[in-house]
Amino acid sequence: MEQTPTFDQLAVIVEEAKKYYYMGGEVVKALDGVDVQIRKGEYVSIMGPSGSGKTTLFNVVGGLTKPTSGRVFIDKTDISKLDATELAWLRCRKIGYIFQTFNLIPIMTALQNVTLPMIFAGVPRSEREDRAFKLLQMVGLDDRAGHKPTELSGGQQQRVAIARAFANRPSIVLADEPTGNLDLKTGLEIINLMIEMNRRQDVTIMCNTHDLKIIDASDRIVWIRDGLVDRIETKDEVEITVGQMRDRTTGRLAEEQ
Amino acid sequence: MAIESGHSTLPLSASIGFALQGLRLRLGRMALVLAGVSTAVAFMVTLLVLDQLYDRVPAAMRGEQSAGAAGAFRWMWIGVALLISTTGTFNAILMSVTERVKEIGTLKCLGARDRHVIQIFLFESVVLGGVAGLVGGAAGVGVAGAMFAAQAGARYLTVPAVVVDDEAGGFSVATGAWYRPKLGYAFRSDQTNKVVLSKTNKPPKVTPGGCGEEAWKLLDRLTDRRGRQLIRPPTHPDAATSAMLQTLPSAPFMVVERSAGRASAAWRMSASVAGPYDVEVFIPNQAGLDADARYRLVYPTGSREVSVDQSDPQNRGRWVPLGQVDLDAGATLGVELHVEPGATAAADRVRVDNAFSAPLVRVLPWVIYGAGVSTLLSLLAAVVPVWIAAKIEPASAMRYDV
Repeated sequence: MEQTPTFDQLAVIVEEAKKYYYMGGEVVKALDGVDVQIRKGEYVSIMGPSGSGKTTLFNVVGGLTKPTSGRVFIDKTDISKLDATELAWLRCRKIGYIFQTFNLIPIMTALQNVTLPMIFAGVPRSEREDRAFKLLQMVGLDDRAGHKPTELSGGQQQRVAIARAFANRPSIVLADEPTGNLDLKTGLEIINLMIEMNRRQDVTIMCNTHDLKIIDASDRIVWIRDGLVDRIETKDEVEITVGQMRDRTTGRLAEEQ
Repeated sequence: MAIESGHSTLPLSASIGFALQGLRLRLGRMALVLAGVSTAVAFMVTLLVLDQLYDRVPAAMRGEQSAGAAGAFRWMWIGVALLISTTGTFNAILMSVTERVKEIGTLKCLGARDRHVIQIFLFESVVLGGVAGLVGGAAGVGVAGAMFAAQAGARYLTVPAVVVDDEAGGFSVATGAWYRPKLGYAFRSDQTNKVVLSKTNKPPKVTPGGCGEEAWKLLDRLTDRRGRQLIRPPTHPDAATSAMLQTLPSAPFMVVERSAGRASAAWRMSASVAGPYDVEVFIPNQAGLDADARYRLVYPTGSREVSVDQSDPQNRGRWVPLGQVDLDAGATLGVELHVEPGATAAADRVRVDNAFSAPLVRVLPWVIYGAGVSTLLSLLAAVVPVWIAAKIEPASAMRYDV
């Protein structure tokens, strides 16, 4: 970005984050010193080949894994300093998660699934049901509120999951391959929905993806390779690049270039 | 800190709901575990209740069998049964956890803390253990009661002989009444045979020889369900024979009607075990009987007379009590009915109940006991799986394999 944003304007700051795993005596450097800054209200896509460290970055930013070293700030809070209870609270109130496999609770209806994070947040019953219903309206599934996940299509399940991610008005929504299990058309609908939610709720979105369709939606794209930030591009810069890649290859292999 | 302080919560009702739905989702497997645990609990309760029952049975009635031998190893058997069932519970909860790794990870991403996960799975195991214990406890009391009744019934059995004796006619008829006390209430065989005798103003024709043999064969066949003979030889076999032959097919009971001379009916029975016995007489639903039938109870330590109004419609078709007598083991009790000249009386069955009432087993305490033990074991079985569940990383939400 042209101007350096101030601390207050940043939703996520990742400073020199390293994550090492020890597997059979060998050190696997999933993240080897990553610096990323995400502004409030920004829509950032994390791109990179499999095994590049995307998921580890997702986990580190989402407070799901502690980095081996380095610092991660979510909404000005250094999450490496939080204990288990505080982390749970952070995940509950500040972060919304969207998964590739939707991860709705199978025994609960769509409405109950959206209500769940608000139960953890201690929102009173009537209020959380109201809010859950409004969120389902927003994702266009208010007529499916009483359906269980098995009675919903993949796209519908992901819509419910998006509604759930926004339930506690988080500062940032993390999406891990949100379109990975969906067909082209449904994937596009989900992307559009995420853009809409990003604009309407003014929520920062960080999206891990292989899906080039998402690039159109993103303000910036962070390319990760071998545990390091390869390059960070704005939407305009990337559109050209993608165009060139589309000319040369067909879709899926593009990010390997 | 930019985050307002606080911590995520999960109300009890929500975790109970979670646990119940979790159980419902795995209903088939949970039913299997439930059956196993409740069987073990039922086994335990059965043994303990039987012990309790036999403890209260008077020593004389207990017979040679006592709880001693079973008692020594009782807790070993119970322990083995409970251990096996607890292993099953452990397995079920562990599977429930491993199947839901991703779900638990997701819950943690949504804000669940370790304790919330613990809550959910502990409730699941408590519900499982509690329900199994309730079912097993109730079943155990039932089984123990049935076993006690069966054994008690066999043990306290006495076959009384009933003898109808007509002095003037010079004949007597033997028949029997079958009774079997069962958990404080008598069980009566429906094969109770009836004393049957026709009017006897004339002495019946006594055919000597073969006829008597015939009659005894007939009487021999009157046995109870277990094949035990109901009838004991009467005092005057020949006379009995002719009376039986004449009347068995026709009347269901005997009406003794005398125009001249005295008639009497007598029932005789012996006690196999010492104790108090309730004596009752059956008054047939028959019109024309006289009001004052005098029964005489004769027992080794004395005798007494009881008057029964056979004409009273309230007594008809009923067992009317004659009172209680204390008998030693082997003592004989006689009941006599003397019919005065010109009077009409019916002589049907007499029955004797061992008045010992089996202890009342209260079901509820045992059900609670069973549920308590089972819940405790279930919690014990849940410790390790629940710990595993609590420690599942939130990042498990991103697994693709489960």
